[in-house]
Amino acid sequence: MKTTYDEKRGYRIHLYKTDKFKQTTIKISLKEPIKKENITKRSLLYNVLFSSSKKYNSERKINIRKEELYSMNLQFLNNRIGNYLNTTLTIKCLDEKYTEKGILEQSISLLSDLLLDPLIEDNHFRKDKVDLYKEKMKTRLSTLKEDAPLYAAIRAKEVYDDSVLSYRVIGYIEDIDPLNEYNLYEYYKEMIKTNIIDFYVVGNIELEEIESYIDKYFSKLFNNSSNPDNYELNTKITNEKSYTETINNEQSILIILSKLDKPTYYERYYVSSFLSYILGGGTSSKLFNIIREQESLCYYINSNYRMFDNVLSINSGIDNTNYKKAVKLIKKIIKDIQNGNISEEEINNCKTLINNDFDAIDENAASIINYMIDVDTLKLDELDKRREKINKVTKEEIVNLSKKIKIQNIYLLEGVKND
Amino acid sequence: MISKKINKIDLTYYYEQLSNGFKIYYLNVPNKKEYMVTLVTKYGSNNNEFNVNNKAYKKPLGIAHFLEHKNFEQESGEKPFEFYEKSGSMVNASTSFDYTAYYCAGTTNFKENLEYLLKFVSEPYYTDENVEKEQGIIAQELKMYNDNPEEILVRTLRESVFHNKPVKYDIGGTVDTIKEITKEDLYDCYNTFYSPNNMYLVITGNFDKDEAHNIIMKSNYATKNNVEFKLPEIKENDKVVVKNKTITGDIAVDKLLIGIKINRDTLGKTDDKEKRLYIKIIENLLFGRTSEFLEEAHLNNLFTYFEQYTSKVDNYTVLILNAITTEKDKLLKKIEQTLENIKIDESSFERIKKVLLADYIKGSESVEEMNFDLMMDELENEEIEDNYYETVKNLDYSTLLNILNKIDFTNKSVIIMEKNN
Repeated sequence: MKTTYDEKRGYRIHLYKTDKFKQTTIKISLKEPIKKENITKRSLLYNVLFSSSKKYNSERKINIRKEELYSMNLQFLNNRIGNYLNTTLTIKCLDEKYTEKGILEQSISLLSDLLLDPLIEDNHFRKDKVDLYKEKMKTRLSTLKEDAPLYAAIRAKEVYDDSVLSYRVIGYIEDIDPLNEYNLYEYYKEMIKTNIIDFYVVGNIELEEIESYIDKYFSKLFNNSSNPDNYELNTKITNEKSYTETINNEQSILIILSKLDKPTYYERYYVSSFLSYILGGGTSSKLFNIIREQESLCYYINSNYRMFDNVLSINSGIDNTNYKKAVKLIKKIIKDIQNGNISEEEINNCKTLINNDFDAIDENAASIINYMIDVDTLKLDELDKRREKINKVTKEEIVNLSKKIKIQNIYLLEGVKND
Repeated sequence: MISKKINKIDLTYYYEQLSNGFKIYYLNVPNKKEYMVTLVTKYGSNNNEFNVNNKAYKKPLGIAHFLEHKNFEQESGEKPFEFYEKSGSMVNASTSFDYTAYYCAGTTNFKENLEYLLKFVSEPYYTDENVEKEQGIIAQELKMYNDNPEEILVRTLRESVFHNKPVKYDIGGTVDTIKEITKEDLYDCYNTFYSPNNMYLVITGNFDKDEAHNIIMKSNYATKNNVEFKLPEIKENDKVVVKNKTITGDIAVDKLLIGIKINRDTLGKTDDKEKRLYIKIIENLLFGRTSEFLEEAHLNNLFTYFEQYTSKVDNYTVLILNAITTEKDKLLKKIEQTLENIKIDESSFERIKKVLLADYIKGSESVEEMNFDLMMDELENEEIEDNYYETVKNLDYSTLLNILNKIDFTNKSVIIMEKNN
């Protein structure tokens, strides 16, 4: 896997060259330390930015252009990686073998138009565009409660504390009004100048060729930001709390948030995978087998651990009358693991699963890019080292880590319809 | 075994049919480590009424989906989920209106995984206890859907468009109907619809087809006998049931769902597969991301969210428009105006053809997408579409206009969901 970084440039290019795919994938990532006051701005910005450019001044024109480029696929997304806010713009274009010469370069040129050549007037964005997206964003955010599992996942963190962990990456309605065509454009300029910028490329292309295109179309990007050493959130441990709010639904959503008390790097990035898998990782996990299969309390139940956040989350949909029973059973399952109730089979299944996932990294462009992000950007171990460490994880280590589970918040979005 | 090259995407599929009618499709996808196997019965939520040996059966709604859950129960107590997880593979199933599919996927243990799929689906084990246990689980699944306003809206549209087609009922039934289901009901349905001549297998990705063939020949599907059944003929009126309906929901912003009901048999002599493509193109050109309609409605802030798609129910296609809007009256008016004054130019038509062709090639590198495509080809056409590329290339503008003229765009149901006060 070949990666380059040239100090002269304001960005790094990561390439995985392969002839396995019929498409070339390019992902641009722009990252900055997360600040609550920038989240809504960022969300509005990318909607305004990626819906027009100077050359293609409407969404329709961009869409027509994408279709002309053999149905080029374009996606943009805001997310949070630890304490960084990350905006990505991804294109997928059909290999020139199936199209015509020059399509890749033209696609990269469109990408550059969107990011670096926006539709502006007198040093600001167009007011009508900004106002339109402000209205759309307000309406969209006002419908959040209709997706109960998502709403509950956000609220479980929000009612717990006000740290970075609780930030709504989708934005805040109350932050929309102060935004306008001027301050949004200022923020845009700052983003281009200060953000950490990476290009991840997967396709049948030589490094020199992709570098020449990116250098040609992104020469306006020049900044001195370097990749940070650490993305981890600092998390404090508090006492167990519980919080209930109601919704006019048939089903209740239960979310139990836990933290691990001072896990080591090895525990956080390796042993935790086993703990989360054995607890609620799949259809043979303890939570699934007991809460769903034995007790018929739910249709879905799962757990996941976010390494950079150090948060273990258990999610399920239940009847409100079963709330106490479910919480009691879940606590008992955790206690059982702490008492060493883990079989060698569970551990081996998890090792097999993780090794299979490693083997399958090069099966698709998205997982290759995620791997490049892990290794090149987030400084996680390379594959060989990961394999070695995963295969050595022991029952004792998993049990020891499970003893570090500290339940922080037991959140219930209580469905009270039919009560 | 018959082999056929699929035009333009550099893939070849193999096909065979056993003496009892069981069909198998094999398709290797190069450069892949993964494989996917899907075992399908042409039995879904639509088929709760049937006739065997002149005896008529009527089963509770939602039984096909219930059966899908229960087929994971084994007499030995072994759990299919655990069997597949041991090798880091996956297994799951899904129920639709007209099929039930069981699938497994992985990168290792192909032989064992295929063998086990054919075994566990063909050895049902239903008891009063395990049926009762499942009622609690499925009730939670149905409640989860009931809490989603989009689901309520789509359900209302299905009821408003179709008079008699069973797609007007939810796939999973209701919390009340699933309570009526007994183990005897499950066996009746299983024994009828899980016959080899009503089933087929699709294998795509990285595998050895001779090895696969040998496993299948040793499985229950090579020797199982068929039960012949009859399905009632369902007459459907071409007109929609209800033109306008307003419901309320716990929502913050109004929702709009429109279904235009088209009987493809009334669209002239063009091949049915081509008719479906023409309708898809029309849908895109009138309401898709490059349509004038969408641009104008967007600039006037007539929606927060808008999508358009088609849904096929036997010889009907429903062209569906789905929106979240604070301006439902203006949006509706705009849609009406668009439908009354349809303009489609030839260059846009050619551009959408290019999109269909490009998307087809893109999809062909996915083991999962190819598996799904083959599965749907057999379900809908009883053969694999191996000439899609040429078919799309040969679609012509005058036929499009001809079909466009035959569609009655006034034959539609308009469902509005308003917020509760």
